[in-house]
Amino acid sequence: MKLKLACATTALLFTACASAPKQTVELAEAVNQQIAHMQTSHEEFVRLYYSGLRSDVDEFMAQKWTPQFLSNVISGQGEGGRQFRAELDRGYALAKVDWADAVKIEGIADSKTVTAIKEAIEEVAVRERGELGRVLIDFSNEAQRQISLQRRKLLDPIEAQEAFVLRELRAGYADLLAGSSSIRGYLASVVKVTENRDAVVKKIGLLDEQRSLLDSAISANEDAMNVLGGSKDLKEGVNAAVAKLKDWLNRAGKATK
Amino acid sequence: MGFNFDEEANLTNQQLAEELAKITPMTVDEINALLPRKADKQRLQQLIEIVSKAESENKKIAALTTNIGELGGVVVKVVGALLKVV
Repeated sequence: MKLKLACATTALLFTACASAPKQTVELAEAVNQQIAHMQTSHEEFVRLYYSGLRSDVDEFMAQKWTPQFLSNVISGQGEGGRQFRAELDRGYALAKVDWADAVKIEGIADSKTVTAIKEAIEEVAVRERGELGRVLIDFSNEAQRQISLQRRKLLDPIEAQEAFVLRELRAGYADLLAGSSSIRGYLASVVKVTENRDAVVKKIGLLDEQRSLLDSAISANEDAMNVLGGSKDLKEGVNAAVAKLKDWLNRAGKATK
Repeated sequence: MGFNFDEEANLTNQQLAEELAKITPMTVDEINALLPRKADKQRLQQLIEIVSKAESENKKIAALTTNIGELGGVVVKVVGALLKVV
């Protein structure tokens, strides 16, 4: 089982040769953040542009359209304007009438009839004075309706276009972020694989080093014994064996540094 | 009875046609020319799926190497020996 696992690891270490430094993930994250900032900025510019257009519309309505429109109404350029002028003139005329003076009641002896006539005159006076107010209110309502209608006609396409542009931009940025995030995720996984692989390789390297030292120690020992055994002179043999061991110690010291 | 000033409103629009044209939004063509070209949704999705799959594979490999690392020196030693043979 362990051998199988080892074989798999060996295979992985060779096949999973993709490599990426940690900074690639950091860079990908920075790119993602930059994309998000760009989107915010881009959308803000779009909103500012359309806000400017809306201001232009309001200014145009206040400075140009409404004065021209009211002028057309007052001067009776259309049927509605002419009707308004006629009713306005009538309203003014009726408002000026002194109804009590206009109707002679001196010759009427019956006091009840006089009272009834006076009440009727008062009702007419109130109604006719109110007529001027009604004309002005109707004028105001219709003028306001037309102004609002015109403003809407100008603003609706601007608002629809703004919504469309923002929608398109958001969809574009969403695609961009999805792609970028996917790349970031992939890079992160490559970094993880690289880290883990490096850790295992390091561990293997250290063990190899240990084994190499052990092998060389055995070899040095054997060499020393051979030198010692093959030497005719004991002192010379001991010196040669010690030299061999010293040499091994030097090499072992360098290898473990 | 109320008034109707449709005629006067239309007349006003005719009189101010030139200025009205200046405050209308961009045309569809102008907008399309300004907007970034749309990514091919289907292709993008396919690519994302491929990359995600590769990411998933890498995660499995990373998990496996972690587990192997945690198994200790025996397995690693065998791996080392195998590597040396290879």
